[in-house]
Amino acid sequence: MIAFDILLGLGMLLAAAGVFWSADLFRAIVMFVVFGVLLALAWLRLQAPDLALAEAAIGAGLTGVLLLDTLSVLRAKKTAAGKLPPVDQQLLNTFTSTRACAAQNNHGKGHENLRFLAVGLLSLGILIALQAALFMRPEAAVNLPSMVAEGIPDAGIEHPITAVLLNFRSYDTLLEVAVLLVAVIIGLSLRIPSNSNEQQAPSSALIGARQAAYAGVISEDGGNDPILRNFTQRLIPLVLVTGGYILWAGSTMPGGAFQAGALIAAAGVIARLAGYNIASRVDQLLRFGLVLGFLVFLTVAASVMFGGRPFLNYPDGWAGSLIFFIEAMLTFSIGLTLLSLFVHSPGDGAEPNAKSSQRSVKSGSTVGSDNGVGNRPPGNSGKAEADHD
Amino acid sequence: MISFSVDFWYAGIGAALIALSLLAFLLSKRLLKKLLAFNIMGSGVFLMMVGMAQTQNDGAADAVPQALVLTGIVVAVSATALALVVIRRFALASVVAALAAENKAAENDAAENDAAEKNGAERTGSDTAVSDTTVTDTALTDPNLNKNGDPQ
Repeated sequence: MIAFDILLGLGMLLAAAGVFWSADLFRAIVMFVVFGVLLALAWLRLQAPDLALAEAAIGAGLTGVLLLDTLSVLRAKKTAAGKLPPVDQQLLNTFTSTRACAAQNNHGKGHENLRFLAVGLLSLGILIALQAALFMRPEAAVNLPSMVAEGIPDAGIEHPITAVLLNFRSYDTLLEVAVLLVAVIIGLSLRIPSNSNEQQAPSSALIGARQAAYAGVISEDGGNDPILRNFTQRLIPLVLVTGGYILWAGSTMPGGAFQAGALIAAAGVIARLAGYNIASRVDQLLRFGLVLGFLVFLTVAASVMFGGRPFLNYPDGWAGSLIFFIEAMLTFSIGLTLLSLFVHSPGDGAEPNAKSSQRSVKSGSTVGSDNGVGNRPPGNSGKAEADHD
Repeated sequence: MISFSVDFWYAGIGAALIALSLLAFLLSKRLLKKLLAFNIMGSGVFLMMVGMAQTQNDGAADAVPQALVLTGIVVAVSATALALVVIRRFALASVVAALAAENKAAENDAAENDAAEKNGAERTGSDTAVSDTTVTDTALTDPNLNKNGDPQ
């Protein structure tokens, strides 16, 4: 197996080099996805199946889709800008092409060589320092695996990683969820405001028109493709059921809230790419769902203090149920967070205004396994909602 | 001391990835490339973290760094998504800003022409402001469309 490890390691380095030295951004992104898949394999070799799951779903899958989507938006802007003055084209090239960079650097070739040399030396130094640190590593001061093994019987959950995430080091996880929430709030506040804003500023009417021309990209392409639509209708319930299973499995074996949340987000992304305008249907639910996980987690963490226990210290015998409850809510919120960072990116053009259905929030149905497989009449707009419940 | 173990090997690969992506991060001029380099650098850190910890434990799986890395992967994807949102917004904003600057230049030209034509006409301050905006609007629609639509 050592030969396999060597090949895999070199393959990862090559894939990374491929990312950096592709002139074409599309190729770079594809190489990045390849790198993610190889990294998932490496996690398996490091006996970390949880990380392999997360890397395959999040690192390779979701990030790749996000990157490709952004690239298509930027490219479409560039195409639209083909009719625009050179100033615009130059600006857009900064994002999508190499030529503008080359043009900018024409004036200082020697300067550029110096820069390359300095950066190369810096990287080489860091490489040597890191490798030296690896070879001269100290002995482990504490034996963490044995401490985890001792704690597991009281943790209320059998799988060590879930136990670490939601019991031993739950503070980290709580703060992580807070970070996700902050990220999505910033993302949402950077949305391009809907059409009304463009009309408010009459002098920018022309700009508004161009903006719209730049923006219309994903919109309804997939919507008219019957194969894609039908495939999506059958795929999404499966993805959601798998997400529910992974969440459930997380208590005893690899899996858990993050991987399940990534799957739910993936279901939403697929639906979005197939042309379902999800966001317009769930705007209210979205806002609530984004904070739900963090609120539940914080509430549980704080409410144990009424019993005289420290913050985040679950009561005896309740740990397992509380952890699963928190995980279910987290799955829902993480899925929605990742999804809305994708759906609500600026430049999508199709900002939702119409809230065609205001549905009550059923917190019990977070996993989606209970209604994901329901028989929904074909052609009904309700289908797209399956991925939010 | 230097016995080959899987964990140690991947930690070394992680270190190489960090150095490689630092190089790419500093040299690349495109924002998306920088973002990719940032992601791969993060992956290198994760590999080092898990590989190093498990090397110290003689190859036994260590749940603590693995859990922390799991947290890190999720934070990394949200950071990436946020960065992409900012990049998109930045691309749009810079184009719009360029257009606005261009329009302003056209406006000023039009206003100067206007002032030159109606040299004798006197206007109060508030009137000037109002009529300037109206002039702006008419100037915006016509000359700009011609300027931008036709020659390209």
